Amino acid sequence: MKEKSNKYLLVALLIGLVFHGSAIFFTLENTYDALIHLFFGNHYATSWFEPWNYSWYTGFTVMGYPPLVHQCIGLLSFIGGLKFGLFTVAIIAILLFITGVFRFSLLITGNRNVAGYAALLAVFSSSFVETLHIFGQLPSIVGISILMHALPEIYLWIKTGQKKYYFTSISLIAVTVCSHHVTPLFGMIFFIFPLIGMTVMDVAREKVNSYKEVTMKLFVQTTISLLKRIIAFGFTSVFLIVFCIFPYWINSKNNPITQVPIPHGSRDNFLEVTSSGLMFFVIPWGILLFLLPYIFYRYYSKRYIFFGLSITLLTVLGTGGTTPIPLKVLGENAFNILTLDRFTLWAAIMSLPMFGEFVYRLVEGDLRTNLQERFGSVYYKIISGLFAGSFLFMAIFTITLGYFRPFQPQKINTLPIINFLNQDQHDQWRYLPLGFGDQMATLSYQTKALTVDGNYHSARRLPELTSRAVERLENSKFRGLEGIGSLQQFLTVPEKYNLKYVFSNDKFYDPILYFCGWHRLTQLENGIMVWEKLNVPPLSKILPFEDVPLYQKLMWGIIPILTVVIAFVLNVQMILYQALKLKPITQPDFFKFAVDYKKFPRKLVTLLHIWTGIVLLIIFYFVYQFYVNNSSQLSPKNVVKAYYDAIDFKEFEKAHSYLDPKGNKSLSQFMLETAVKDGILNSYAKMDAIDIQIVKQTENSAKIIAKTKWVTPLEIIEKNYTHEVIKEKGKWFIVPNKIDLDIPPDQFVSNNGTEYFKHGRRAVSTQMTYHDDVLKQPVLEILSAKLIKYNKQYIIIGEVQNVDNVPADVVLKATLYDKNDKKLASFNAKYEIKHKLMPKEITSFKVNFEDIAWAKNTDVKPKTFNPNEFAPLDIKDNPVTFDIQCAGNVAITDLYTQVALSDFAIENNHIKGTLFNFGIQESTIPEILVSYYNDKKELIYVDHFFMREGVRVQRKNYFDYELLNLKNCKTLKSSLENCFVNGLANASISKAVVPNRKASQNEEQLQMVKGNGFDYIKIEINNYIGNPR
Amino acid sequence: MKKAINILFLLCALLLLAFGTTLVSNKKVSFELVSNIKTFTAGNSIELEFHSKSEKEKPQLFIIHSYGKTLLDVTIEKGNYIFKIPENYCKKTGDVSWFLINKNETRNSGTFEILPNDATKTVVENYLGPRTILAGGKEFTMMVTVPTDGFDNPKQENTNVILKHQFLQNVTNLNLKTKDFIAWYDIYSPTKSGKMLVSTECDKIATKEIETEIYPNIATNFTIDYKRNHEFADGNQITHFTTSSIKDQYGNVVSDGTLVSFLIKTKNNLILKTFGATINGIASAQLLHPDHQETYSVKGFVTGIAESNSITINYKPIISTFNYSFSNKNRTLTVGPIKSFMNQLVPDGIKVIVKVFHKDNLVTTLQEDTSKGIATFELSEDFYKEKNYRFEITTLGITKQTETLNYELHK
Repeated sequence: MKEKSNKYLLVALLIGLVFHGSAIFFTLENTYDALIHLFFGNHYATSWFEPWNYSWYTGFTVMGYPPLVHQCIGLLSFIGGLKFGLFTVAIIAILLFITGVFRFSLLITGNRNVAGYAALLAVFSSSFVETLHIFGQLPSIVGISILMHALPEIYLWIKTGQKKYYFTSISLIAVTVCSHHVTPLFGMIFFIFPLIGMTVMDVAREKVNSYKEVTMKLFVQTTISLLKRIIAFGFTSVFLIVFCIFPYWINSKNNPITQVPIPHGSRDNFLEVTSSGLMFFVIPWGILLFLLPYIFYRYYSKRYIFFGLSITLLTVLGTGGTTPIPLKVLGENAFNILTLDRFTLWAAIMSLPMFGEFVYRLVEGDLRTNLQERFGSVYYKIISGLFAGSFLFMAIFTITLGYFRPFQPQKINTLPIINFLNQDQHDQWRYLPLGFGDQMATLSYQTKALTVDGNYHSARRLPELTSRAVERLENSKFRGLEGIGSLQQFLTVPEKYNLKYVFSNDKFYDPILYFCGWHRLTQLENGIMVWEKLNVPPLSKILPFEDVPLYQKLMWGIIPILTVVIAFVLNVQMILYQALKLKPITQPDFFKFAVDYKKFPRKLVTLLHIWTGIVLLIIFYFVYQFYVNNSSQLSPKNVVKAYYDAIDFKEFEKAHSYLDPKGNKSLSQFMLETAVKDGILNSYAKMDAIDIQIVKQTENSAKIIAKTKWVTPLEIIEKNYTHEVIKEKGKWFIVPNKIDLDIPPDQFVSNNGTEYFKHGRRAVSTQMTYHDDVLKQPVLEILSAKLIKYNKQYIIIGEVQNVDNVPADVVLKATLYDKNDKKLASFNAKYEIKHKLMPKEITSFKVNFEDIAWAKNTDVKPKTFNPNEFAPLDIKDNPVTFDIQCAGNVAITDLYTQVALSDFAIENNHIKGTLFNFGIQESTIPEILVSYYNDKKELIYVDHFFMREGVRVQRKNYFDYELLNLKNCKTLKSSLENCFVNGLANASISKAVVPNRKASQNEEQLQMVKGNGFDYIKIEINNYIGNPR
Repeated sequence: MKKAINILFLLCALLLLAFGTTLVSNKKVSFELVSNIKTFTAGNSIELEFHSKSEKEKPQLFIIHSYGKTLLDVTIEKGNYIFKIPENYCKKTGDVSWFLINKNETRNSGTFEILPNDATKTVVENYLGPRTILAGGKEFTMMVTVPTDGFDNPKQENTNVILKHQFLQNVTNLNLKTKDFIAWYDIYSPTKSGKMLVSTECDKIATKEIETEIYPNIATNFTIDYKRNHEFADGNQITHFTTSSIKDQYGNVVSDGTLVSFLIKTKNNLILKTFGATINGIASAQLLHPDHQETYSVKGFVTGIAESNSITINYKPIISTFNYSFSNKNRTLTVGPIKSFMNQLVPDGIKVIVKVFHKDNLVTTLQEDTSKGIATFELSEDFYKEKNYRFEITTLGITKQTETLNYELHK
């Protein structure tokens, strides 16, 4: 009999190509992973056999990820560039997936029409759409598709024992292994084991008349008879899993993933974190959720019983942290490394044949007859229409999710950054992008310059990164304490990593950069702000790397592509015969086991109706909950919460709508008031938590305290706001707060000041300037330096003055030594120093010795976020001596000093002061440095705090600071002996520049305060200008 | 048998050949240098010619040159052995040692010197540093000159170099002689600040100018003054402080940007601060007027280096008293209208602080800003539940105490 081409499959392929093939151009580059694969592809395109990549993480090996897909991208890039490679591979993946589903469904159902339906459904299945268009997991798709292609071959090998099937099956397994390592490992368990079970079942069935007669005994007997083939296949595939990506396994053994697990939404409790539930459960299952009873009913029939068990396990594992079962089944380690959404993906893919079967029966089979007979044809039409409609809706909803809720920052034009890095040898240093999202990978593959960050977190090597659940430094603000903590270590001691440039795409990070001693260099034409740090040495010419033996490099470079070639040669014949119908081929064995779709079980229809009802009820419940919790003006609490949410997201019009319309605050007035407020809380904070307490409530009014907690790049801020709320016409409103009535003294202000500029090099030449244009380093003088012990921590404090005639950028590094002059610790001054000093300006400084947080497993991690908190270094020996290396470089920016301390009071161990800004720049975040002195007017401690609101031009702002208790603060050593400035001894400088220093002048400026353990204080002001004009 | 003899003979001949060679080489061949020139000029080709009785030798010349050690092969011309020194070696000055080696033994040795070539164009390299120094003659900048020949070889000792430096109207020429390849000179800073240009000349070849900046030295004591719109403590005017032109001990105006801290001591010995950076030696800073009668004593500092005189500034109060009233069953307290020194209303934003007492215990402190001279306090029943309260109102440095007021409570 001559077989016709399967029209459903053809249609599926055509629609799949048109639909996905055009959509990927709009979605793929915004997905989470695609750009990472592009980066890896670029690696192979430039150095095929060399696995070491310097671009990320101070160097890492690409042997941490199976190479096939990346190598294909790399190969294709030689034809039409990297993006061409990516999209071509994606299109191939789409074709492989659709045909894979067809073959898998054919194997399961033995019915070409059903398989055709399944293929058609696969095109729009939400799990596939999500994996491709939202996650961009190409290797995973290629892996599972090839695995599905392998399944019929495996079945036929075990059933018939023909050698050609053995070779075709293992050749495909090899390709799967090379494209994705997790797929064959778990594919063995979840797809191949049940398949083997089904094969044995089929063989047993052939010996008797029906599946009912297949007894346990017969099953075992059959298994034994087939054992040779099963074992042959099993061993070969295990061998291939090990052999094909042998260097990967060696690398995993040498560099085991010892990192702190990074939180992943798929491990959340989906009922609590509904957004994760949506992304990792509802979307991948999609419309299949309604069909679960049918799918389970079919898979729990005797022939498919093993698939039934498998899909059950997959479904449960896919629920992540919702039930405790996944954690118990996988164990703590695997649970924290694996992303559990892939189980749901596999479950959804495994359901596709049954889904196809169901739809086939619904459209042209017995279910149609059943429904029409039972409920009439109108009902049938409505139900089918709704079903088809919601199925398509899910697909379109999923594919457009990225459009409505972008997962990535807006597309960044990387060209100006590339140009900047190529200019003036900027690529001799490492750089760090901030707020780039996954687009950092795009930047990385376009430039020669290296970054400390990276986007393949399994390959992280620096303990500063691996000890924390920080995916990337780039998005550290989303990782709370750990993120900002990691970031600030890189920013405080950038010379350790040769990090000189930061590209900031997110204003949020500006304050931490400024207070760590960085300054703005220029804004690129794409809006990215370039920050620079002075005194960072360039990268050395030869960078360290971990070499691997030659045979591994050869294996890695040759085997994956070879597997594809072999698989192609072995399988192409069959495919050609099938596709072109060149010669009649015998029907594979599994066609014998097709079921006739004659009578759809009546009870199952009822059950499906009930189940649909239940699912709908659950959906309605969640929607209702969502409404009650988010309906903003339903209760006093809701309105305050909604108000702060709106403020947090800068939706001021919305926030204004919650204000009492009778309060006479117009939108423009409200906008004006918000616009004039600047400072850390208004411009750089993200709300972390809000707790709303009702102080007093009557029928129509209430007084509410909103306890808010804000995450800022510098510290956590808790602030309580009191609000009156009233009810009008059934809606609750907030009574607007009063406004600041203070009027600045002058309407028009003029200001003179000294401004600075330095030429990089005066001659237009790329020649290195050795002599002519090098500015002399400004001379600094360390006035005092002390080693103190406070709260069990060793701290270095002191004062430093810029004694030169030009402004100086100050980098101050302190090192502790024990009695044998062994180095104990070393760190830079961070917040407690003015990093930029005018000529003759003095700043106090403090150096804390920070450790890499939670480097030890025993350390208890704090649950809440506090960027201010740091891990003090555990210093085992007693520090006896210390040295200070201080370097000055000519600074030209961030030198604003025109903020005066215009009023001051000391009350109950608090100091309350007023700052007045008489210049013409707004001081966005004023930092107050408080130095404490003892009765002999000797420095004993330095502290800092950030004011929450900025000081606008010609305006006042108030601060309130609680003085510390310094009774247990001990000065261990006070010495200028080992202090060095620009490499010269401090003593020689103090003799040269200010030989007759008048120490009394400093002492005269101290404020007498009777405090706990101190007698005097000094106040210094460090102004961060957020928007310099 | 005959075959065996033949083989034996051949073997013997082979042995003879093998060991026979050692006999010949025992004779020593001597090599004599033909011309005994000890100095050469850089850039010219250098050949060493040797004569020997034996003409079939293959000696090599081992030379030690500042570029490194090397072995030269021989060429034979007219029966003499000639070694050509490589071209790049010939261009570099210095002592060269040579060893003639024949059959692994040194047969002759000697030295010669390559001298700078004064016939080529002179090149002068010069370095100046540090590029900024302080005025006053204590600091110096050092000029280092390396005159070389066209092959980059330093000129011979005692080559004449003219060093020229300009400062203001003075141009100084100095004749120096090189020693150990270089000529150097420490130019001590003058007492004036400014820019100094330096260049050198050797063999009529001049360098480009290099500059050193002479910065003014550290500041000396200075005086300060102030300026204000009026003498009243209204909390809303600005007092400007300026310094005299701050100079160093040589009369140079200090560098622009020098930070001067103004220290303001209040009558309660609290220290306020404001800052100014100098332009042309004058730093100016501003401070808001206090909002109560006050006496400031102000002093400027370039901390650790210089200080100013101390000046005293008095601020007169703008009010002597103010009115307040209670309304709305004592639930509303209205302070004002507060009138200023010309009987005008005070500027908006004057702080009014009300301390609420119940039975001499401080309950709370309230603060409001005035608007059109008036500040209003609402004492909500929800918060002030006691039967009576007493208030202490403070504004513009004046405090008034109210009587104890009774409140009706209706639950």
